[in-house]
Amino acid sequence: MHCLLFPGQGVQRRGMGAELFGRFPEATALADEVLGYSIEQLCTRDPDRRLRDTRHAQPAVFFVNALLGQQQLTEHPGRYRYFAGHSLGEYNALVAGGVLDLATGLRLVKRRAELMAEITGGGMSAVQGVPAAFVRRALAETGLGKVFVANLNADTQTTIAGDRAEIAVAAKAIGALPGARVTPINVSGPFHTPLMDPAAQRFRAVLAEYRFAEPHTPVVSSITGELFDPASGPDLLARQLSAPVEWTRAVSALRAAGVTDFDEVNGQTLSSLVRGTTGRWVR
Amino acid sequence: MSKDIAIVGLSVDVPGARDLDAFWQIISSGTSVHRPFPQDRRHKLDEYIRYLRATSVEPVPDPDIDYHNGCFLDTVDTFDYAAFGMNPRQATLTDPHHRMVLRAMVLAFEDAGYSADRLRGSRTGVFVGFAVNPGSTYLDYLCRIDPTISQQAITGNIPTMLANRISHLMDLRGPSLVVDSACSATLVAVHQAKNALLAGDCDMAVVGGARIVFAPVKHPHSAIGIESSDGVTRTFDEAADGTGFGEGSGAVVLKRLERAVADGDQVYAVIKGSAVNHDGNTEGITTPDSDSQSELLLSAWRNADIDPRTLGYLEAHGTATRVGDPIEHEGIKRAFAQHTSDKGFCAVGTVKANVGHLFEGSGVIGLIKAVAVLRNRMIPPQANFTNPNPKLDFASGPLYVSTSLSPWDSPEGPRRCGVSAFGLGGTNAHVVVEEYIDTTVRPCAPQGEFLFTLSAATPRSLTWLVERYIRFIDGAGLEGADIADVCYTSQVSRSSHRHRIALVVTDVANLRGQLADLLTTEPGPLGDGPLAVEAKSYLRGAPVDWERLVGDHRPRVVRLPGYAFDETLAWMQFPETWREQMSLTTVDERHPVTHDVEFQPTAALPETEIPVGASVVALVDPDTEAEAFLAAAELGEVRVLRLGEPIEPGGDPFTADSTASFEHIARLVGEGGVTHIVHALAFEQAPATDVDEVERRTGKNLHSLFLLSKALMAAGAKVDLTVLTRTALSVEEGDGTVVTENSALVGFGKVIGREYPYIKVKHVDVDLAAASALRAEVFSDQHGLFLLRGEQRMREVFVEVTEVAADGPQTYLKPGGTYLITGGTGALGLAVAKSFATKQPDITLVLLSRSGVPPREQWDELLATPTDSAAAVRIRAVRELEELGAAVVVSKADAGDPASLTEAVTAIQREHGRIDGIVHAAGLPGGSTVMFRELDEFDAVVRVKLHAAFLLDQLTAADRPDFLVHFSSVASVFPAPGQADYAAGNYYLDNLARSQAGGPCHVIALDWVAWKEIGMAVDHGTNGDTMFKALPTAAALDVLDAGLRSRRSRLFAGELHYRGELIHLLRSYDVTLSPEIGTKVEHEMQALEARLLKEQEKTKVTIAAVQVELTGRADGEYSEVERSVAQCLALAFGYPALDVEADFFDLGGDSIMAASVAGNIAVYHDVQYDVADLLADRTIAEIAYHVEDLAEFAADAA
Repeated sequence: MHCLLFPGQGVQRRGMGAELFGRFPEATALADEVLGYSIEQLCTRDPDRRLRDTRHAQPAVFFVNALLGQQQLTEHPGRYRYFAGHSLGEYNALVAGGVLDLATGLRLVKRRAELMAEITGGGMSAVQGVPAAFVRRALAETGLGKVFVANLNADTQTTIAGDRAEIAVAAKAIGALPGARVTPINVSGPFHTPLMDPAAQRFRAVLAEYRFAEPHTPVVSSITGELFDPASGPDLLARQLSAPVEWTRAVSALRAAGVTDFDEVNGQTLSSLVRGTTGRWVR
Repeated sequence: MSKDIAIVGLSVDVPGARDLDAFWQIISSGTSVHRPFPQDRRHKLDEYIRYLRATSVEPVPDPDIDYHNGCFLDTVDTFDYAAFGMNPRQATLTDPHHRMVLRAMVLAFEDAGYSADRLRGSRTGVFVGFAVNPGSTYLDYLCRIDPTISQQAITGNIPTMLANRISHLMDLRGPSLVVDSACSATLVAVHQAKNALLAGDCDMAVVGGARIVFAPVKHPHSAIGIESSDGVTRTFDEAADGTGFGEGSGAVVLKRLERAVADGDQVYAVIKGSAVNHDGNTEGITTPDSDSQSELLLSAWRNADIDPRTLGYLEAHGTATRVGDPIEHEGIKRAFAQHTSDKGFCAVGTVKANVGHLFEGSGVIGLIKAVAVLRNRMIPPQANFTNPNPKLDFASGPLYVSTSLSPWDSPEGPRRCGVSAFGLGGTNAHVVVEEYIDTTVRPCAPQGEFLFTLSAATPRSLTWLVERYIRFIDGAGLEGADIADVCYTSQVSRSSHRHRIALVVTDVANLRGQLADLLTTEPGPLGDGPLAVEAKSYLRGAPVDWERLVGDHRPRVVRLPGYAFDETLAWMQFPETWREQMSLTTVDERHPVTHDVEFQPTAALPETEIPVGASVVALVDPDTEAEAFLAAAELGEVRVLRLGEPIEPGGDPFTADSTASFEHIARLVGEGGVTHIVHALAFEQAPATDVDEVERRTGKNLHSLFLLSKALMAAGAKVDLTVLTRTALSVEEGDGTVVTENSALVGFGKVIGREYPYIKVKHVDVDLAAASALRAEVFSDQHGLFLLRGEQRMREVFVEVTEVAADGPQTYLKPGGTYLITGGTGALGLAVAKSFATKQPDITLVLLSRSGVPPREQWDELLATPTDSAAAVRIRAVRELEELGAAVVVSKADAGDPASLTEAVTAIQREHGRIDGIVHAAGLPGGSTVMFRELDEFDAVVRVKLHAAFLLDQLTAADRPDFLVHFSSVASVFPAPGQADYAAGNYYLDNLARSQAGGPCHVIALDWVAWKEIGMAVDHGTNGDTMFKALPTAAALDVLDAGLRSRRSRLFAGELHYRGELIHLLRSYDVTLSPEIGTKVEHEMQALEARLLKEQEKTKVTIAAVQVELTGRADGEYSEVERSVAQCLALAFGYPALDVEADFFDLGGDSIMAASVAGNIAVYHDVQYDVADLLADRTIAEIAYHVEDLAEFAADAA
């Protein structure tokens, strides 16, 4: 059984999707209209180096994901029984699953990106080589109040996020764990932590304006690891900004549902996380 | 299509000539440019030569340095880095040969009418002739000064980059390769390029080479026997005594003639044909052969399809050696004799007499000379030629040596030349070149306005270029040239650089005038015509399609002045202070290879109160006396969890092998604020007597500890864990009453904290009299292993064994004896078997093997085809043992499976009687950390060691062998993360051997560090030096031998790697180090720290000394940190000025460089700054901002 995965912010590269925009002229025109700038120029040339900026990175990744997804679905009709996406990628999964249409997805993502970008002074770091439980314990030992586990990506891949200064201290403490490697990630905000609450509140109001359809193909949430339920959609997607991404849980849930093959658009980031998720100590 | 190849562009740079005209001036005047080695270069090399002489193992004591005379370039240490997209540092780290080849090829492309823009993406091939010179290379030189740069310097110094760099730089997609055939290399490269063009591998090709003599030291040691005594090359002269060194570079651009004509290229000459051959098996590999040379010429003539009688000039290899010249002359004569008996019609000469021998570069220089001769239609005089060599009988042959410049008339057809080059190793090349006569009639040149463009990488180059063009025009360089062609050529070949000029011109005089104006005044306005629009767009940096400007009149490429490089010093100076900086003393201390772990008395802990807030959980087995013992220890409020009873009322019973039980306990710990856990399940009083009981106990005791640890880790718990055992350890050697199987828990416990530091582990092994001391242990801050016997308290101490006493039997192998080796077909097992069979050939070796070997009758067939399959390797090893004289039996059995092992051992005893000795070498490596280990994998690793050892004792109880060696591991003392199972099994072996000391069977455990050459560590790539030096096989077998000849029950085999950077780890274990070891470790750590500090100080001084100007900010204000960060970057790149916003990668940075730059930034500013930071920050301003942030943060933290 196949599932199609959509990555989130961080996979953006200048030149991405270059061959796609010409192939999807209508969608591209729509995106230009919604965003107010040329999506093609942003993705392919990025003359002003805006792809590093959350505000632009999210719509760019979302849109390229969406086109690639559409292409994949056309090539393999009926292959995918599940969709899932990592953080931002979850919006792509919802579009693929029929919960949102592309334009709505893009409008939401644009607003989401703006709100997220407003929260600054934060930082994120990737932690590799040790399980999340070790990271949590190390964080607890530091006594820091504003650093959190933000993504549980694979057995031994986690990200922490929080206050920029505290992240540096936490990184040092976690780095002292045997086998741990901590690398800073270049984002401005403390994504997926309670420090995002103000943005989540405001986004909740935005989400309330939109209607979520019943999915024609189920979507597994990267926050809960459960099937996405349109009724609680606004709440979940608002919560997503300040709650950790439980990717390992989503992967385990998909496997439990019978998924054996994971395909991915826009790179191989998630595939490597899937391979690194054995579920061995999750019971 | 004809096979003619056009030479459409060229460049030449030799002493005294930097273009074709100047080159012809030297040739036509018969000048020889030899001279002494230039003073300036001499000064720069002297200290290096002295250093080389002083530091070779056999020092060369000569105080004087004598240099050869030769045809030397003035400078080889400068380069225009900007024109080639490098930074100053890269240029400095690039071999001068590479720099010269780059320069030569770019100039040749320009001459051929190709700018970088026009070349980009083209199917252009690059062929370079090159050989690494004997003696010093530039890379050697650089690394002698600073060994740390070898990695950075690699791309600038490996030969393939000679060709590949320009392909990369200009985006050329044709073949790109370096030919090495010594002195014929560049001419062979011409042949290769020609063939590549004819085969369609590329549409255009550039061929070139360069040669400098890095250090032309005249010394008997370095002479190869062809050098001229005074640096003068006197080819064909009676005074000839060898070849003089030449330096320089040259390149030609080739195309198929038809394509060149169609493209409007200028055609210098046409290559009609060529040939390459080898001397074959001559008298000596360096001896030339006239037959082969003759055959070479004949074959080239055939290839060119010409009558050799039409040749008027022959550019000979002509090295002026006593052997070479007569052979070459003879070869030419013989070849001509096949076609004609005419005499004296073909002039012969060589450019080596003018500019010396450029070795690998000489072929293309000879070819360029031939081109010059054809274009000028003059036969030049041969330089340095007075009286003919009497061995060369010119009168009787087709050749003559010209002594004056004379016109070359050729009424019967085009003029033709041959060019030869012969390699020292016997590879010969010859090329036939013909003059190009343009027969096309061009319509009248159009009148009107044309756009002239010029560009350069730096403003200085641009100014020089303008001056150069004015001189060129004044020197009649454009006489007869069509202004449309001049402008077209300037557009397609001179337009790509950053700094640009565009002029709308009407004729050459108008161009001259406008160029002159540029030097004195601002350029005038361009106007509004269509050309002016193009010009403005061009000046803005926009791409211009020049072909669009071409009208009906097809323009041609014409010869224009070459680029004016803006060269600056690109050379690393050899430090004059090398004598003071060098230290030739090395410390060569020896340390013992053998160690031991002793139980030494240590001070008992003072009685302690129960700490406030302490909350203890104890796990006990109701079938033992653990609970009573714990009660006697008075640990306060202890929550006792008994096996078989529910953990919480109404819940499932506590089971030792149940994951759920331990997850439950972990939850209790997390939620209930438990601070201490006492694992007291392994409290049996007496050792197991059968293997079933061993199974039961490991399942209950060891597996429970495994599952407990795993659950605590998964929950992220923080807790102090006491593992309690009852007389599991043999305090005194030979205590057979101890419960050895429970000692495996000690090994396991050592690993927990190394994987997860929030569980702190102490292993306390007690007797019943020690209850009163337990409380202090449970609540103490001391971790590690402690043995309590009544009042006595002991700990592990790691000690040196400087000499292994030979107090046991000196021959431990009996003739006719039977010896069992478990893990027998593993690498270590086979090494042991071989050493046994070597010592005592008439023995029976039983190799116990999990994988076994195929039946003997299949062996021949299996080995018939070459194979490295595991089975074949094992069969070969068995045969080798048999050749040594041993009888070998491979017994297929799994040591970890009691039934299988029992069956195998019983069979051996049945067939061979008594087993006289056993080496228990079977083992599986530990796989992963406890968190990710499954119980069955864990168990498999343990049982190969533990269960197997127990059974080996049981099965031989009736008739004990003479010896039993257990292969244990460093992991039982100093385990690494991921070795919990392995450490447990091996700790058991150590303790088992200890408990059996002094018995009828000599039992010894050997704790191996990684074997360097064979075995598990090699298979897993962990055979490097760590805290210990990896053990060579021979040294390991010596320890085995010494151990067997002693009465010891244990040896730890491995030498401490005191000088290694990991030695500090030794102190991170809860094992006490003996005073000798402790002192040495302390000393070496201090020495290491001192070394690092010294290096850091040196780095700081070096950075502080860097001069760099910061630019990019209108107000010119830069912070202190920005300045020092700029110094760090300038040190790496060499720029004299840096923009505060310049990107690390645009400056020429790469990830390799990033590590050292980030390191320097960190050291200089005393902050934690690494590669990832640098790759994120990228500009001086951002880096400085980050560094300030970090420094502030560090200050806050302090």
